Amino acid sequence: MDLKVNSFGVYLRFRVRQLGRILYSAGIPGVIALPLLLIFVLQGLEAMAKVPGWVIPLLTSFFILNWHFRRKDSGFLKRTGFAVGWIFGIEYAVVASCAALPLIAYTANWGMLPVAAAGAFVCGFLPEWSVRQNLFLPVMGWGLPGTLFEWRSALRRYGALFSMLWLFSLAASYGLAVLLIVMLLWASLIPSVFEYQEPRELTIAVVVKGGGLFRHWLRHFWLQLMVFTPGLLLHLVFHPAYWYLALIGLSFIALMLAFAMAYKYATWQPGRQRVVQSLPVTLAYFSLFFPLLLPVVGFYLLRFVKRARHHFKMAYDA
Amino acid sequence: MLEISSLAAGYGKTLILNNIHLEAAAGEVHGVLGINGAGKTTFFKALCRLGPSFSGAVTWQGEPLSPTDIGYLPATPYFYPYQTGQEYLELCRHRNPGFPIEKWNGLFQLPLKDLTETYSTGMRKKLALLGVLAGRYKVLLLDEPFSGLDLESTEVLFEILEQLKSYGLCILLSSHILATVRQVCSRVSYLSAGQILRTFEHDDFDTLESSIKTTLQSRTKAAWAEIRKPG
Repeated sequence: MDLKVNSFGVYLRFRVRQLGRILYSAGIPGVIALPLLLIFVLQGLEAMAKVPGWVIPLLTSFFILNWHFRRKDSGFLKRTGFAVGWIFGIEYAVVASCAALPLIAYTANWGMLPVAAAGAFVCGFLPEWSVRQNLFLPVMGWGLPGTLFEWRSALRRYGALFSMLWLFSLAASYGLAVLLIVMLLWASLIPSVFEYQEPRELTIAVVVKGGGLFRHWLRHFWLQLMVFTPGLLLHLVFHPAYWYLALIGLSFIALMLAFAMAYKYATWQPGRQRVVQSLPVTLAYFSLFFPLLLPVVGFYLLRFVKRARHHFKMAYDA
Repeated sequence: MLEISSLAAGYGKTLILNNIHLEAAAGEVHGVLGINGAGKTTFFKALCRLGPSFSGAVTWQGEPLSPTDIGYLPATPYFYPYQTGQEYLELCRHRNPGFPIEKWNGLFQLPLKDLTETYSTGMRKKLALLGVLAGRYKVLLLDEPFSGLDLESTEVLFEILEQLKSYGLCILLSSHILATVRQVCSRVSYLSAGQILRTFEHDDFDTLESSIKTTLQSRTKAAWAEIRKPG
């Protein structure tokens, strides 16, 4: 027991130090973003005050699940003898409680705090996502052209998750906000799609020789349009007066695609390990809900595009 | 004595290893050779229960061996972002807090206060190796430990392996560099198509290279004949 407590202590100390470094490395845009984030939190509390209490643990569990299936450290922790399920479970419970606490305090919905923590804790014991899943979207991944290599690999890995979201958008399309919510959740998964490493030659061939970043973005956006066409049509049939909701959803996806893509290539350099920093991506995602954050996201986006172009030039000239 | 019997492993319905039998004594460095895709990494991962399905028996000194008693150095080690070398080793030694990090680092002189992102490939390999040593395991599985190491570090690794042998650890090691395998291993098992074709004793090492060449030539002969065909 002492050993387990000591192990968790070692892990926790490292994670706290790591968080400090991540915040420190956020730099000036991060400092600018902090007051805006505060406004975002206040706006969020105001907006979420009217939703039913069970939505809070549902939302935290979704984000924890998304994190759980994306993390790459479980193999390392297992082989170094950590009790992975417990460590992840406690970590998730702490993070979910901290995230849900302001909203729970604002709405005085205290009963939902243990529910959110318990839901997150259980996620820690879920098995790793299998690499291949036998649903139709992963199968579709095989048919995608090589220029969409990120989606090919992502659909093989997270295909079941994307399939479920897509099916839900069709099956529940009579609900007014369903398409918009599905597109929001879909947009939250896009950064994971672009986190994949790929051979340098492929990147150069596809992005640089294939017409640059903008063309690459266009290709990916076209794919999203094709995937969501049935959902968009159903939305227009059921709710023709609310056509603009579909447009808003598509804009979310377009923005997250651009950001994830620019961020990926801004942090990727030939011959160097990438350092994935979740703060800019989180900011970009929350800007979908609170446009006040858009200037910061725009600043990041321009900076990342400039860096990405520089990295491609380095790779191309090498 | 490490005894692996009737080991089968795979992913989903695909069986990659079948009916593997292997014995290695305490204080022995046992080489595992094979072409790319022969199943060396799957073999190591299966022993540690890291991913592939597993069936069979693994015992150490006659008792079932727990995966937590097996240290594994992967060919591409994982490092957290924003992690210093010191923090990596602290995580690795959590079961063995007495492991003297500074003393062992004297062998490689790594800048442990720096973030691992700034490390070169060889330095990362050395750090991962120290991490495995910090874990106090009975059996070590080293997947390509020599790849990416400079000449000096290769010599240091030879010394470390000799030291570990004297501690009575059992080490299974995979490598593509035949010369290093010959130098460090007491015996070598040749893995092909998911099975151990043959185990070479130290005295048979002279025949090892020619045996591998013969096996490969029988495979490549037909391919070369096709390539040389006109049109």
